[in-house]
Amino acid sequence: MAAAGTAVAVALAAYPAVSSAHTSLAVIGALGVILALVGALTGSALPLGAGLGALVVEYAVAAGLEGSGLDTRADVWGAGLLLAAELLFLAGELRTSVLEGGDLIARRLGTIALLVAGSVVLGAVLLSAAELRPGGGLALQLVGVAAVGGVLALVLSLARR
Amino acid sequence: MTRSATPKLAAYGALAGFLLLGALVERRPELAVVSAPFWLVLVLALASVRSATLRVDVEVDRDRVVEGEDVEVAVTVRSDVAVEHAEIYLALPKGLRGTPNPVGFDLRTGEREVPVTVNCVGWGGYAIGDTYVRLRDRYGMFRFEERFEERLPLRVYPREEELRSVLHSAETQVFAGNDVARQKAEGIEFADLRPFAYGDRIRRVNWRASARRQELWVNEFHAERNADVVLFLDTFAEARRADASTLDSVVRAAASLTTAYLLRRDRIGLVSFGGYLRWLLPGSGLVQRYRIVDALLDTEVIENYALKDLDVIPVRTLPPQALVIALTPLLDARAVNALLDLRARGFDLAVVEISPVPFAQVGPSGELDELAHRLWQMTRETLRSHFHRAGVSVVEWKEGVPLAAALGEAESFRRFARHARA
Repeated sequence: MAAAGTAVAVALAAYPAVSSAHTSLAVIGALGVILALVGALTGSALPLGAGLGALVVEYAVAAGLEGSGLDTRADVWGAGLLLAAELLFLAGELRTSVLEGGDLIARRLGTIALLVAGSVVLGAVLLSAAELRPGGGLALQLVGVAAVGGVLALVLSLARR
Repeated sequence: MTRSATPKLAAYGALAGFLLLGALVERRPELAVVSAPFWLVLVLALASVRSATLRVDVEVDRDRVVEGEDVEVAVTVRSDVAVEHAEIYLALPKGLRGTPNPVGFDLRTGEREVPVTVNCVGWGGYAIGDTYVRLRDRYGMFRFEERFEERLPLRVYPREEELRSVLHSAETQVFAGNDVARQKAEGIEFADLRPFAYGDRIRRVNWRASARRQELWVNEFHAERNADVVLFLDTFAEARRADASTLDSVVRAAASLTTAYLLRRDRIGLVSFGGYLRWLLPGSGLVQRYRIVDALLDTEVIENYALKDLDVIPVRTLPPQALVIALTPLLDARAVNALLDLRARGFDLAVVEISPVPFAQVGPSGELDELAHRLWQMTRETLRSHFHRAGVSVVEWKEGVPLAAALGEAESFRRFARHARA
């Protein structure tokens, strides 16, 4: 499980480093992969989260270096990041789980597959919306901020239940 | 049921928030797209999480077993909602081992019976049934934990050794039993010849002797009587390894002797002389056997520095002419003095020394430790010679040697030893 997650993380780290051809980004990506692997193997969430964060930083910096062009593979990269995160967290979780008598792995892998598929679809929809470019302006920015606020409010209300 | 979020929830929340913030600050819609899967998982996990109401019942197939046997424990878990993955852990005291324990299972049907085989490794009185249940949601974001308390009694009796012969008491009592008494009365064992007296039964006439002497002579017999036996358990101190102790051997020997003597219709009592004093008056029969074995289950070594001697023991627990069998590691001076005192008071005493030597390893310092170990063994040898001089048989019973062999050694000593007074 950890190996599969690490393989996906390596692919994710390689994509921004190769596309932008910056060595420093490769270093950040490598650091992220190592941290994530250590977290998965030790069952510790802190290095795992930090590793995933490093991958995100690498991608964000690479996207900033790209200029004004939109990365059309962002949906796949996002789904890949979720896949890596799920596999690595599952590897850590299995260290403290009792598997005897249960089929936890099979059911969790099924859930992960559905989530990744849903993520690709959701990312594609969002990416299509981002490509529309209606001209910008204050109204659109307000709509964006409202959308962010709405998502946060939804998560907070669900968390309070 | 206690609900707690896993670190994964915090990590996903932080990642999603960081990406969304980055998208707004950097004006990069890709980052918002990348954050979308994490928001999706968070929303799904938070929307689907439900706290289950559980009920756990624990049943044991029997509550009395012998050391080494297995007990089947059925843990039935009922939930008002379907649960993807549950784990239960049956908390077992030291001396019991569960397989499989903990165990994982799905609870999608709302009820599940989980069998756990409990191997009773050590003797003792236990209460089992405390169960810990942990549930996980399907996204790995939350876990729910609850403890269910139940106390089902489980008595694990010590493993007994088969004893074909036991130590014979020097004096017998008045009731019928298997011991050949010194007194002449109705019995089977031939004792002597004497001239016929009026009232003697014809069947007792020894015709050969009568023909030789030209007058009637009759046979006399020894009576078969029972004996009073008191097991004297020294519980002041024990030598212990991780998995065994001299106290374990003391209890096993006591249980074996109890069964053997009660089969011979003897009366048997118990004195547990140690940190606290416990006793059972001599009795016979199956009820007495269970009384003694149940009392043995509660035997433990409790540290106590109070000076104790025989005066603390109730008089009736040590009947006159009783055979006292001491089961002791001979580690505490108070027990040693009490035994010598018993002998001085005229009790028929035999000491089975549960050897602590295999439990004591020579220290790592080398020559000095070896010397100390040898000195300790010599001191023990001197202690034994004190008992021998008092006419008390002391036999060493070590691990791996049958108890019957040690008893045989003691019996041969008692047969030929001169009676002495300490």
